[in-house]
Amino acid sequence: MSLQASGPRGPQFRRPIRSARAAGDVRESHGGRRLATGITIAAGIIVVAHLAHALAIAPTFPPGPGPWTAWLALAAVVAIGALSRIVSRKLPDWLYVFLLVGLAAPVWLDVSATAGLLHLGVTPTAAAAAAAVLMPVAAIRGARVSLAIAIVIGVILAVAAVLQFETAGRNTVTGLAVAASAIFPVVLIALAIRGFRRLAGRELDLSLVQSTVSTPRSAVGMRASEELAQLDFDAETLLEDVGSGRIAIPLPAEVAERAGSLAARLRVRLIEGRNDTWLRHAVTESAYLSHRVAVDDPAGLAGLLSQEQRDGLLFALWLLSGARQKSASAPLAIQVTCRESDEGEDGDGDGQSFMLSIHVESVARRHVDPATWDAVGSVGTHDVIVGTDSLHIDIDCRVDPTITANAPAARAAARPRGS
Amino acid sequence: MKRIHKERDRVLRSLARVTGMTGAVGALACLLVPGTATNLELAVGVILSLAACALITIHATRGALLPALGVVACSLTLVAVLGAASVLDAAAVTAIAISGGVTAASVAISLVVRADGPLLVLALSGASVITLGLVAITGHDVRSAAIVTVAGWAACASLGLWFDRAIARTSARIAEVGRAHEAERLASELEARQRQDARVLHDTVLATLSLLAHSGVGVGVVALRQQAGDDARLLRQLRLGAPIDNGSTAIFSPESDDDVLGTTFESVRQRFARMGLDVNWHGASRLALPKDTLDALLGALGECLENVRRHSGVNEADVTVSDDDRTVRAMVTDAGHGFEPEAVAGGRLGYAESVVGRLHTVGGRARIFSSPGSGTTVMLEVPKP
Repeated sequence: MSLQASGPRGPQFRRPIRSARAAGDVRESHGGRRLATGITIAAGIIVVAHLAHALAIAPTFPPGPGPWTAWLALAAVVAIGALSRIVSRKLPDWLYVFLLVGLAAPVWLDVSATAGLLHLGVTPTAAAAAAAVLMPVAAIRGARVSLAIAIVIGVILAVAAVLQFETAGRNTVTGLAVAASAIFPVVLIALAIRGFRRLAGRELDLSLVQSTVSTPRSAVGMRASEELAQLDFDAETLLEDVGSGRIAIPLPAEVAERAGSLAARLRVRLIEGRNDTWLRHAVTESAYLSHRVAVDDPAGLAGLLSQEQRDGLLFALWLLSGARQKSASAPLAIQVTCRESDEGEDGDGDGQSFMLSIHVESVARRHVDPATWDAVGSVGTHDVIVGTDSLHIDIDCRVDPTITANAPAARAAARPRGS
Repeated sequence: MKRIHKERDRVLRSLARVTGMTGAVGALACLLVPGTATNLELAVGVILSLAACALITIHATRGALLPALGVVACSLTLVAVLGAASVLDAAAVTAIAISGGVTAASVAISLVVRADGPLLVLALSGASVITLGLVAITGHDVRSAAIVTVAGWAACASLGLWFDRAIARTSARIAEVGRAHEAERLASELEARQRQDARVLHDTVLATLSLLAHSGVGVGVVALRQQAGDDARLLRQLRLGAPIDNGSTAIFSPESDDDVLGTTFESVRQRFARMGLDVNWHGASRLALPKDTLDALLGALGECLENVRRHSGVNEADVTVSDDDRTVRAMVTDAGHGFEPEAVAGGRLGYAESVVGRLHTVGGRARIFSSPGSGTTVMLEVPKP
């Protein structure tokens, strides 16, 4: 019988998961929906412009339906898409595929209706508008497919224009411009969506990591604390089963082994983390800092920093790691080192200080956001040494022990209670 | 200015740059079609397009207003220069349309989010339309160029505006998630600390788990069951955060209270008695020590006694507690096998971490006196406050 099955499961520890879910929520639904609305409006403007263009050139069409069958086909596809989106927020994949394939109808009708008319200045309109319809699709369903379809439409229009070069002559330029107008808006929207996602992701990451700033001098970290709770719970379950006689004594080998591994892991978790600080957790938990920043702080000195100093340091690291690197081949790397000052503790006893140095590889000073220096300044007085393709910042961090002693854990460690 | 707005402006300006560059290059490409422009027009066109490219790049990197206005001025000048020609062919009209509706309009993306942005964009788009109107007065048909210009300005402005709104909503939501996450972190940090602080509890849990890992051999079944049940109960109390006010409080979180200290020693004694090791207590049982120091001393003591129980081969140990002005000493003595400290002390992680490391964190130390066949004495020292 396995340990999990033998006892009732206790409360689930899902804090980080919950935070992660909320984080995903931010990017997908809230801001993203507004952006999609804006993109839909922009797409609408472009479609209306193409329609106006169609009205302007309609008189030059030879007698017949002109561009209007293609426009009706486009209206039908858009109407089906819009209606089904109103009915249910989430369209099934097959309907999406159907609608995207359906866009071939206006493109084909328009290209065949305008074929051989470019010398009169008649260009496709509904086909280009069909590409604009892909803009909101890019916002809602991901940019890649929309971009590919828009490029296909653009290429079709360009080929159609080039094929008429013999008769159209200089008007081919207009035809090619219409082809470009099918592709460019979708490209721009794809860039906008990527920029928005990236921005939201970075801000969210910073906001989550900033919560480390308010932790006590030494911090366990969210994952470790969850694991400790889980280990305690597993131990409780096992001991409970032994105590109540559900597990026989002497123990089955499998359960004995489980008890041994539980004890080993629990021992590690109880000992570790005494010198881990908010800085280490901030770097580890951040998707952006973790593969750029290395922290060397064996004594946990960063934990002595006040909340403002921590805010400044975290933000400075943030800005530095976002700086443009000199070349793509040499990745940006930041090394943070904390060392006791040479003088040690001050004689007057009203404060102590330590040296914190930030070494940034492959970044030029002019590429560093000026706000970085304000942030560094709030940590302590600093010197900057500029190398050929690196930066070295030495910060003299003055810390007030009475401030850090206010933190609940630091109090127990630093100030003896009682007599 | 909020930082997220800075980031927002950076993204918008880079979008504006992509748009403006595309427009300037596109218009220039139209002019380069043979026969579209006179040499003079072409020269002016090249200069204006390059200037527009340079200015939109400067605007994208610096964010200043003036280069953006320069972009509009360059492209509208190009529109006017081309429109001044007596005959407009298709390529020239396309160049005019691109200049007015793409190159000039590109700045709307980044300018519209400024405080005076909507008015500014309205004025600039108005200027574009008026320029086209001037071209139309000379008798050219620029309807399609006018459509492109109006649509370009409107689309760019709406992209910028809604991007801004999306960022505002996201920023509020991010702040909310951040606050919630901070609360979660403080709670989990506190919880972890409580668990780590419950060292004496974990010492007994670890001892019991170690017994179980050896299948509980060598200990009475009833005693082991009792011990496991007690530990499970304490763990549950720790998990539920319930106040523990019976005798086990001492194990759970010893206070530097004289009475509690005695109870704590007693509970350690009882624990080992249940597992078959009699501990004889000598000396002071009333000590005022800070909680951390006491925890460390008791924890180290428990580890030493566990070592005696497991390795010494005897079922009796003596603990002598004494103190002077500065130090509290606890001596754990047994008359068992003994060992060669040189051979063992360094290599055994358990001893190094659980005894030495523990005392070290509170400024104390441990010394071992032993030789094979003559028992073992471990001296534990912690400083007094």
